[in-house]
Amino acid sequence: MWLVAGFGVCAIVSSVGWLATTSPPPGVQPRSRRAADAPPPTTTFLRDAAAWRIPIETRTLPNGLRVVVSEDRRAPLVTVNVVYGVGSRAEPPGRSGFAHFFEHLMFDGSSRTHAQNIHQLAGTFHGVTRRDYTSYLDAVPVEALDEILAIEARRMRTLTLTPAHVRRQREIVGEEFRQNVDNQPHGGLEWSAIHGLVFSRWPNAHPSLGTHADLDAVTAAEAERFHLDWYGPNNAVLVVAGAVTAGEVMTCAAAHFGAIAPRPTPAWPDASEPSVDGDALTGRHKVVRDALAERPAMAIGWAMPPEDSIDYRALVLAESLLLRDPALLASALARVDPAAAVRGGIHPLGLPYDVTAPTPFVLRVDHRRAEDGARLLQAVDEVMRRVAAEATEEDLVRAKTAFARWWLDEIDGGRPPFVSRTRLLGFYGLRDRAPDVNLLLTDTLATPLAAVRAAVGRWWTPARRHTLESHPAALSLPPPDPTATPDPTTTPAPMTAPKTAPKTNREMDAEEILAEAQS
Amino acid sequence: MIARTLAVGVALAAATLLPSPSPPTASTDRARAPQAARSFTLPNDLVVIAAPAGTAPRAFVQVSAPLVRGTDAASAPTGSSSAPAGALPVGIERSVQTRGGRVDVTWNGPADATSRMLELAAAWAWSWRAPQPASASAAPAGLARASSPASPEVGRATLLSMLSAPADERASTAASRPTPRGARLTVTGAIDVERVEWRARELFASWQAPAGATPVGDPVCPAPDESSLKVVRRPGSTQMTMWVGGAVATSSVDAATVDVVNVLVGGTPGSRLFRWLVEEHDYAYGPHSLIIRDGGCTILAVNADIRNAVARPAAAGIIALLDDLVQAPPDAADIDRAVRVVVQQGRMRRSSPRGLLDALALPDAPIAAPGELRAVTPARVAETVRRLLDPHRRAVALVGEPDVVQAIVDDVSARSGSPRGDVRHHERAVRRDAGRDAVR
Repeated sequence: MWLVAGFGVCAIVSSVGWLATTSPPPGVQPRSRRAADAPPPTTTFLRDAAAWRIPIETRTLPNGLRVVVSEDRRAPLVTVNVVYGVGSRAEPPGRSGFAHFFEHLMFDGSSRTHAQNIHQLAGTFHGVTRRDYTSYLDAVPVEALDEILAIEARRMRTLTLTPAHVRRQREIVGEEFRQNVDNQPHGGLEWSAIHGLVFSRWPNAHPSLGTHADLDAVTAAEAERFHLDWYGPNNAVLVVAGAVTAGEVMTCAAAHFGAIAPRPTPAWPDASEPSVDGDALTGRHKVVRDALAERPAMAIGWAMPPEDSIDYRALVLAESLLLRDPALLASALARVDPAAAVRGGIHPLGLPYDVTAPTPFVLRVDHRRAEDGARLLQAVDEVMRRVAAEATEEDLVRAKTAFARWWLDEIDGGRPPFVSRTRLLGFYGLRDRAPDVNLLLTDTLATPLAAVRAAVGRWWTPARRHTLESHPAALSLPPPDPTATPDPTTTPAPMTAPKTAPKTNREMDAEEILAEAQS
Repeated sequence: MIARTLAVGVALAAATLLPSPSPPTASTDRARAPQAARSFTLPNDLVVIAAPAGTAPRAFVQVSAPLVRGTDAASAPTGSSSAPAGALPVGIERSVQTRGGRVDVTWNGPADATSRMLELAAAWAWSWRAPQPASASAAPAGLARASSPASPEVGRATLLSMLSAPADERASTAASRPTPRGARLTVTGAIDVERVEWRARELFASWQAPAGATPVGDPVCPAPDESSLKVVRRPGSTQMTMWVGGAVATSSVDAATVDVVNVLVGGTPGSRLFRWLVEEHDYAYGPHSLIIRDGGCTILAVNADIRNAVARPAAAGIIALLDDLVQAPPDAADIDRAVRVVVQQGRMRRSSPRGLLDALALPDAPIAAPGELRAVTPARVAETVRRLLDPHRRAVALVGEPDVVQAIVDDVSARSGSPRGDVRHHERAVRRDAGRDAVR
């Protein structure tokens, strides 16, 4: 066989076949498989989707480490996700991007890198840093469970860093920043820069990837302190999904993590946004220039209500109505600019339910002509108004069906396997609510039409809309949006490191493109 | 045409209403019982695969069929039909992809709509014709980032234009139609295998290959006989984007060996590319290699985005690393490790219904089966590396600041100039060709 043999404190016996078995794992509620052609399918589907459950077993070790297991034997694999209760919202001013930078250091601070370790196990890995958590995922053959838990326990226990580690990762994170932000037209507009307009408090408003200047200031000692503060077992959730039983995982987890002492965890900074609920909130409007862009784009953001509220769930369905099915926004914007493209959502880098408020609902609209910006915004407002006033039960069924299908794909699939399931279990596990993951879809699908209409009318209004327009540096600015309130405190400037000034031939290209688009 | 397609619709509707052999009943007991995957071939040569996967109540139906042309003879059952296009039923999504001489269509929807999706698939099979290709100058639908001349992603499109079949050959699929001969119907998800089999036999058994039709076949892979270099000037870039690749005809290599080569080159963070560029030199964030199967070609492409300050040594290092792989192919231990990685990648892919669908439905699925991987030998890897990364048939696309890419052009030309002097150098402005490539 090609597999790494299991060894160590806990051997796992693989008993799965990739095609032969599909028995429901323990905890899965039996579903009805009605005659497939019995109409109407969506009614049955929504009922089945709402009743669908993943197996979830939880236990807490004496040192505070929460362990969550979701057994699924469809392939001889195991996905291990260690989710820590720290994210970019915890970064202090002057250290923007630190949580993400530290995530990189966690892959490097040993004699052999994590990549080399995982390559030996024929597995795959990745890390993500979000506003509220940081996740380290490894997907390996089930026989390697023991070894991968040993690796994760090792880096939870200690992290020895040298200035060389910090220097190397500073360069690599700098490259990531350039690749995703600096060197992209309108880079980070909708997932980073718009936060600075929607919110006013540092924890919510600062760019989560940071700035080059802030990253340059980080020291090895500071990073080791961060590890000590935030990476203790009592501030983490170990999630394991795959072809293992809860008993097997608990035995392994206790053996590898049980001896790690708990550590005091700092308090999170106050991230409340006093303005979010206030009636006086006025949407802000800002224009920036982008030297690399040749067509305009804009990010539009609205603050979301608290994540456990009925309004939040209602807006999750409204998002589906706008962007999935029947995708009201795309058709409305196409009437203004047939080439307009819209994307975004609630927490578009993750799931709508693995983030806490304050968080925005964001849209990114790319379009051809700068002067269409105001009309596109009006079209967005009009769609919101119509959803609030005219959405029908039929619309809602479409939205629920599209959302449920997408959600099931995320939670039951993913590459690497179970990536969303384990992240969500970890995020909820941090609040001792892992079993509630099974209720998220159920509760969302139970939301009535009246709640959806009311929530859209309350939250996604023109008055609460924040707009960040990004124009090619070479183009003249369009007339201002008559519906927006200009932000007098801000000067048009990129949120990120300044890009190189445009050169003559670029200006010519931009003009040509504009002329071509207008023709 | 309209009459014919209308008749197919009527026939399909009739097929669902008229008395027919009793379908298997769906009992709760059977729904709970484990079901094995089932595969069978209909008399018209259509291979049907029903593979239950996952517990969530949704399903996927995919038809992957060769394209033929040269006849308009009705292939539908007597009576025939209506265009299946138009609004899909609530909850069902459809995606269509043509690849050389094949077309793949996937329906994704609620598990309880499996039968409905099979009906849609049958209606599509009888009535679908490939549309005429859009003209090369047509604007793309929506402003996809890849089509933005100002995007570094334009480098990928540039490389593909250098290595894959030309647009006129791709256009040869126009006005063609799918045929059951060599086609696969694959159904995965929370399905009832017996019901799928019964329904598939009922709906697809009379799908006939058009008489006298000829296969469209894959376009001929151009298999470049010299190396070439294209530059896309992008003033203001903070990074240089480099794509390096080689192509061979897909029919001339085995997929399993290519997968292994990809892992060795840059397909994982354990690869040589990642180690050298990231771990040893801090030059890049996410360099990688990937396999692109396009228009009859299998392309191994290497990509890295590198800050301007170190772009020149990094580019030279990437070229040297590829040259080294050709001159000193990986040893058996390296290959064994890479094979284990590919086996694991296959398991991961097959663990979800959508991934399983890809693996089962497409004859040239990117991830090979374990049996094929066991047959990969060091000699085959060496031969594949030599052909895919041959420095005399390699294509390089550079996107970036003019001064930065010019320095690399000089280096590459000097390096390649001595043995055969065959680097063809194309330079172009950032927007016209790049935009067109992206549209193509």
